[in-house]
Amino acid sequence: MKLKFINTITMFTKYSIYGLIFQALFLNMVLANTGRAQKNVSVREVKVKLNSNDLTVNDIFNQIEEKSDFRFAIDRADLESELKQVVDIDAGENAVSDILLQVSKDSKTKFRQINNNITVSRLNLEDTEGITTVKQERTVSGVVTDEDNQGIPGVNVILKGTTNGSVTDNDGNYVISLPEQGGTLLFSFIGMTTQEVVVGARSVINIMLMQDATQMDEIIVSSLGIERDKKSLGYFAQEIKGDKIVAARETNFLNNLSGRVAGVDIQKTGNGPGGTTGILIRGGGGFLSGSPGKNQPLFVVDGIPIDNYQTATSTNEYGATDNGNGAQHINPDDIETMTILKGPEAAALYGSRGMTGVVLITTKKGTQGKGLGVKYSGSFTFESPLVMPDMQNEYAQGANGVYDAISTGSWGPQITGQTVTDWTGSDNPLTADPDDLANFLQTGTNFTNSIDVTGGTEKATFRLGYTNLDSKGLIPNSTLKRNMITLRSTAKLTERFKADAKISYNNEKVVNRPETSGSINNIFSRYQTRPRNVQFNHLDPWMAADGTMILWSPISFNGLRNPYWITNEDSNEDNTDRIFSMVKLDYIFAPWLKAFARYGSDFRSAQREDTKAYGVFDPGSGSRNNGSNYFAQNTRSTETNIDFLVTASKTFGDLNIAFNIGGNSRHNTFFQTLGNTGLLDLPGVYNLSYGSFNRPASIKSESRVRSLYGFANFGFKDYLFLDLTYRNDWSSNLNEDVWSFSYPSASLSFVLSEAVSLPNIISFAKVRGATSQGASDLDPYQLSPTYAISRGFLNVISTTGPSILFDPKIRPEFVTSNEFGFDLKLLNNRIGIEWAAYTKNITDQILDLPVPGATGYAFKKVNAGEVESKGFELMISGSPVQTSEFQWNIMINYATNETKLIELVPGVERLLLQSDESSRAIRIVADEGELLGNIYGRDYQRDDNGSIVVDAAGIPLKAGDKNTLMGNTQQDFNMGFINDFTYRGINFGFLIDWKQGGQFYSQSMAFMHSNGTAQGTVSYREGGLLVEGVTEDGATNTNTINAQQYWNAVAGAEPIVSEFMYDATSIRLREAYISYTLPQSLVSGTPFNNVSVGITARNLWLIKSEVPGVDPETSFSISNARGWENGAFPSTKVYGFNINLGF
Amino acid sequence: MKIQMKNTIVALVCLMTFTFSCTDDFIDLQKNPNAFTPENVTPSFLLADVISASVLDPGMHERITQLINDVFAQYYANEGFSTQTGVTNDEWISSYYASYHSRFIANLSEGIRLGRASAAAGKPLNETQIARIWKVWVFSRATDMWGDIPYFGAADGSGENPIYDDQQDIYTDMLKELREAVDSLSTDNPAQINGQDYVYFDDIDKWKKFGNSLRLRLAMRISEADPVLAKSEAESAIAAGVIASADDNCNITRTASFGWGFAYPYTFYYGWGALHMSRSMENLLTGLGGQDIAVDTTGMIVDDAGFDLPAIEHILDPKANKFRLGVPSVVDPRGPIYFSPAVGAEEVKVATAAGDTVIVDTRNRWIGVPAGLSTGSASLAEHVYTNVSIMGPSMSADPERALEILTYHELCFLMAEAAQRGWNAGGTAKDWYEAGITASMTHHGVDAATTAAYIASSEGNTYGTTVAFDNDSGDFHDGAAVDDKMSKIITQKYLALFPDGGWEAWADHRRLHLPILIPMAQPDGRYTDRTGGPDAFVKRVTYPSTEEINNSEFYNAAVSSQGPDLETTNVWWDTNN
Repeated sequence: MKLKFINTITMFTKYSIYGLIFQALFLNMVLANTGRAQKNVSVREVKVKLNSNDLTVNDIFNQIEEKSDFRFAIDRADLESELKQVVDIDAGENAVSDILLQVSKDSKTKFRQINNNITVSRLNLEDTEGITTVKQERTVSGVVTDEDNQGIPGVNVILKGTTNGSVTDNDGNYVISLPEQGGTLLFSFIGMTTQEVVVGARSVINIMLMQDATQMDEIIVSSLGIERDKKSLGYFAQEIKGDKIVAARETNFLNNLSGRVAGVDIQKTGNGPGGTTGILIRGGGGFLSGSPGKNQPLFVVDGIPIDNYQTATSTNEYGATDNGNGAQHINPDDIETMTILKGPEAAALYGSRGMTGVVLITTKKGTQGKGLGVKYSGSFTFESPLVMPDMQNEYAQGANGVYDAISTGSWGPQITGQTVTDWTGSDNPLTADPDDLANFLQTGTNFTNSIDVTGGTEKATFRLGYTNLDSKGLIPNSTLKRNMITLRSTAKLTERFKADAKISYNNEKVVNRPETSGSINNIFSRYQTRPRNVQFNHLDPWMAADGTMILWSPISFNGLRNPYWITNEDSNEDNTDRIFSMVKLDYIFAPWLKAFARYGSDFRSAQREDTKAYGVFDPGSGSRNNGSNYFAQNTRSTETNIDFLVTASKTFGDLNIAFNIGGNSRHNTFFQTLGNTGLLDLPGVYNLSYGSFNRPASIKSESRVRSLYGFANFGFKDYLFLDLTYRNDWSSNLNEDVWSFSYPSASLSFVLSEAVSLPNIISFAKVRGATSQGASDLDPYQLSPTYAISRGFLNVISTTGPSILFDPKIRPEFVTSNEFGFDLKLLNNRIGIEWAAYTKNITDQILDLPVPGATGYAFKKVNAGEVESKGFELMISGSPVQTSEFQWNIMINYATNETKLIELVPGVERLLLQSDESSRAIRIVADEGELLGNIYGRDYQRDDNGSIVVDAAGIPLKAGDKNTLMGNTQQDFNMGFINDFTYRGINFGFLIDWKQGGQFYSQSMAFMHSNGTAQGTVSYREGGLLVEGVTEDGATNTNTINAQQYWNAVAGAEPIVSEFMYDATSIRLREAYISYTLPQSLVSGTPFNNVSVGITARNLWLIKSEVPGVDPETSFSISNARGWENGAFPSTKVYGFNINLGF
Repeated sequence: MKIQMKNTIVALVCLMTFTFSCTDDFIDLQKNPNAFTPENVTPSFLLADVISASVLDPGMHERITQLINDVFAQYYANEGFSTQTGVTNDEWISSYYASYHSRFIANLSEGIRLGRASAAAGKPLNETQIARIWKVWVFSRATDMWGDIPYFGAADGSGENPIYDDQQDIYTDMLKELREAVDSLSTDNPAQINGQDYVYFDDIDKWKKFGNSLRLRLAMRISEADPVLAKSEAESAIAAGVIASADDNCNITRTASFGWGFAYPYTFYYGWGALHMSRSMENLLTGLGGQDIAVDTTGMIVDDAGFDLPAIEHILDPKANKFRLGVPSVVDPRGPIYFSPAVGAEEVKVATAAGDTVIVDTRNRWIGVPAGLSTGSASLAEHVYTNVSIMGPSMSADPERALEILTYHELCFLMAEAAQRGWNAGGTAKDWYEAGITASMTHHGVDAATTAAYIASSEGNTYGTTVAFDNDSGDFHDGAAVDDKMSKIITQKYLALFPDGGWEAWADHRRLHLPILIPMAQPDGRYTDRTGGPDAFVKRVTYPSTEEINNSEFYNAAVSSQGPDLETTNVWWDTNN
């Protein structure tokens, strides 16, 4: 522990040393900078000390800007040569007016002072002196306001093509003199989009300037929902606007984050609509064991944690339904902004659960004093497969080239239209249909309708949002429906007392989720191996007159299902209600002291049913209830959080200090009842009372975590910021001796550009560093052994002891993170660069360590091991074209992450992360000293020279073990490339998402090859395949074999894994959209004040993939089994249109 | 006003600090509401779970019983996994090793500890003794597979990692445990509650007989390694009273109605397209006992001479490399019950030795498949599962069939062997041998007349082994007599114990190199002996690879004491080289 602390300090010192060097270098300049609190004064009254003789015009301007409040308004491109002109001037203190007169003389320029702005232009021949008076013929006046109708002071108003200009006053009013013919006015202000207005005959021009999206919004929501000036943050926080998430929707909005944030890897599963999407921030945590989803970040909405419960992590190669992850019940239409806290800061203040990052969501609320606003948006999208299995269509059912109606393989004869007696018993021509699967699937539809009503007075605001999603899946009879309603209101009860309350109700109903992976109800995995001549439409009807399932291979009743039986007779349904509520009271005790108290809850009630219909005939026993079952489950889960925060802040000269003390009390409860019927007695009624074995079960748990924390922010002169935090948790899941634990953090931000004068090209520069610790407890009831007593088999009372040896003194695990980075803005904010490097070490992990079976336990709970993640993130944003009519913005996100097992337990060097229980193909492990996620599998049997060994017939042999390293699941890098173009009312953009590297194993391909359905099995059907290898006695192989012999030997249930390992690299056009906002001239006169329409598409084009017929993004699990695909739902492309109406 | 505000703040902060750091309710929250603490558990709860679980659910039964023991005993062949070429599968072994310890042994030990604690309080419990007997049965299966295993210190509740014990010590202790446990069983002790005993329904006499019979089985296992102890233990067990009729059989009820894990396990593999008759099984059954095949052979090919296939099968197989159709005319009456004719197909292409391709009709083919084919050879038309015999429906399709742990017919053959060895078995070898055959035939519903004719028959099987005890065909196979008394006894035991006796059949073959099994055709390279000697067969299974990682010190000690951790290393009681 002590050692760890020292390490932390060492790391911190290492990173902050760069910061100190910068400081030392520039300290002089910082101190030399005189006060700036000048009001508008004349150039004649202000004196500036120039530091050298014979400066260039440019240098002089910089020095004046640096040492006074004057700013030069200058067209640098136009006056390029003038700026380089050397001015004959002496060092020392001079009035600015005198300096400028000399400049005017030497460089043939003229000046005009407006408040603190000095416009510069070329001196014309008729000009007799540096400052001229424009001939006034008429004036135009008006007010410039922002989006909230507040006047903006200091906006430059310039007559285009001249140096004639004005500046708005404190209320946003301006007056400008114009020549008689008028002209075009340019309104410009930093952070706002420049506007051009043709004056025409008007004498009053009022204008509203819009926020410029290309300028980084400087205010960012940070830990605990506190809005911070971004420059003061000592860490890399990236923000996404809500409108980016709903621009091209997916049913799980997390998919919309893919490629948008550096260091955030979105793991889409191949588990169908409503299925899980995982999100790994900086590679997740690298937790080796523990509850599912522990490596997923914490979701916090308006300060209240939301349970992102996981269901896909429990799926394995046998398959199940994937009931999605909890975060997808957050309504994307409610989202104002999302901030991704990637590292130290998240852990520091969110405690245990923030260690793997926090997704901080701020939802929309009404705006004060804006009156009633109504918005409608609709999105109508269609979904169809993007990648389909790569099947052959040349060979029919059978073996050895001969047709066989009961064969489960496609090793039969070439299909030439011959007539055979098929599995139905009648004579039919043999055919194969390349569009078989496509014809079975329907076009999925996703209709989203959303209404947003806001209102606000000076005292109170409200917002009512309602979203309805009605989705039909690719598989017939599968649907997903969501209704989401949110009401939020804020009130200013007194000048000191504010209240903010919100309630959201979300209901989700999903019918017939597809089953995944190896489930016999997985339509895709069964299709992949079904003989090519047995087509979907041959299996309709699916039920015989006596109610039994019709199956093309009756002897396979245990392993196959008619797909129409699955979609029409078997069913599953789940219905989830969630209520998120929040009440927050803010009180201002004094200008320097304020506090809030907040209550929030996440309530979930869910029902699940799963029916495996009666009617599957077992020819052996003659029973018709094979595999039948009815399952029902009710879950109630709550999390409530009560927290408070007291903030005291004060400025002492150049030093601004804020102290905060807060507390949090979290209470979780979980109650679940469930039952299975076992084999059903009779068809038709699915009720827990009827069946061979219908004993219910229930699971309950409860836990509390209480916390107190304090943090302090120090700001010096707007350029140096230090944050310190300290948190103590008390967790009911730990033993008394260790249930109290604490952890600190520190971060530093140094804004170079505020502190010192930098070259003109740099408009903003900052370096930052942070270090922190976080700690985490474990799930409830893992301290002492218990026995589950049940009445099962033959109704006897039975029990079995725990297979995990608990350690009652188990300690919390610790995460130590360090981060260092910089932010740069160049060329007048046209280019932005943000960079961060980080390390994250999890030590003392709470591990379920496998122990020798003879101890009587399978695992032992220990604190052990260390995993380190490190990587860097880079975000580059730029605006290559930025005119008033056309804007082009680019953003590139790039991130790498490596998660490595530093050490495990003395004497243990490998930990199994995910195995295939049926021991077929692969193991995914953590090896000490290596990256997590090594994939091991079976190779060919090889001789000492590495040559493949074949048997006497020339067929390759498999190695006895499966300990050959086949690859690693970790990616090399993730990159997102975003382009956005705006031309007048048209907005067009696209996002390219590039995931480089990482390997994955396709079990689908193994099965498709062993069954002869894969395109790759077409060659050598008639023999002639010579495996390059040697026989067991070392002779070169000369025997040729055919494709069936080869693929039967290397593919199938225990395949040569190397044959089916693929590079998971993919580059795809993740998103493309075009929208058009109707001009006001068209809209006026309609009931609408804003109309836009658009076309969107997602996942449209898989530009690069190494895998034929399988999308590398379709693992069946987001757990450590990523890198393993089996019978995946085809990845889909989504396209459609949307419409937004404002009333 | 100012002071008042300050006080309010101080009070608020104090209140909150207290509320947000209080831990008074934590101890109550730590009580798991879903389960019981060890004090609530009685031994019979643990015993009830272990007895059913230790006969293995279909997943583990397939891997450990069928794909390891049955395949090594050659009850089946060509099962499509590495074990068919004599390579054990690490994952199967690992999962069995883990659950055998943590579920079976740990819970039995815990039950015995709880039972003894309760006995100390004045209530001796029969369930403690039953747990001891069952623990021996579970341990015996484990040590027979691996040889040396952690035994004395295994799962003793300490969580400490025990050493591997010598198999000889293990056997000595198991025999002692059985004796003591049987001696301690008494009808005077309280019965298990609630009808927890679903094996013998609280019939303590039957438990005693089972305990003694198990002792006889284990004594016989060490007949070659420690003949003295074997004889004394066997005679002592027999004298104490062994299973006397099929009523005393130790059977574990299996039923489909409790879902996964409780149906007769082979019914699952039937659905997965496995359970192919081995060529050894075919050879042993064909011709034996002189009885005409009990199937309607109208339209079938009978005693097909076949045509030549490419030479990939083992030379010791009398039927090697012949493609044959149809059925044999004479076969053991149990043959067609054990294995049904192939489903087959009307047109199957088969490559001949001459290099031609012949199209044949493989329907109704009653034929076994050679053991030890490589994956490639296994997929040839003549060997794929649709074209060979698979397990018969009375076993493969009856989920309610009880799983046999120790039966009267096994007991008869143990007695016959004991008598044949000159031990006191209370009867002659011939009497016990014939009683065993009769019990087996009755068990499978073969009528008395057929059974009598069978017992009297001097017609030999493929190798020349006959049924009649006093007959000797004088035939040899691979240099060894095939119709001596011991060959007859073990051949009949092998056949009678099908299908649940694969564990015994493999052990007997290792112990006595009986009955005649054809060596694997294309075994893994670790089998350097490709003749018919004992070393051509699998001798044990390897330890789980996790042991080498998690438990290297004790693992290495075991390997240096027992021999390399390979399938070709003999266990202690296997003296057959």
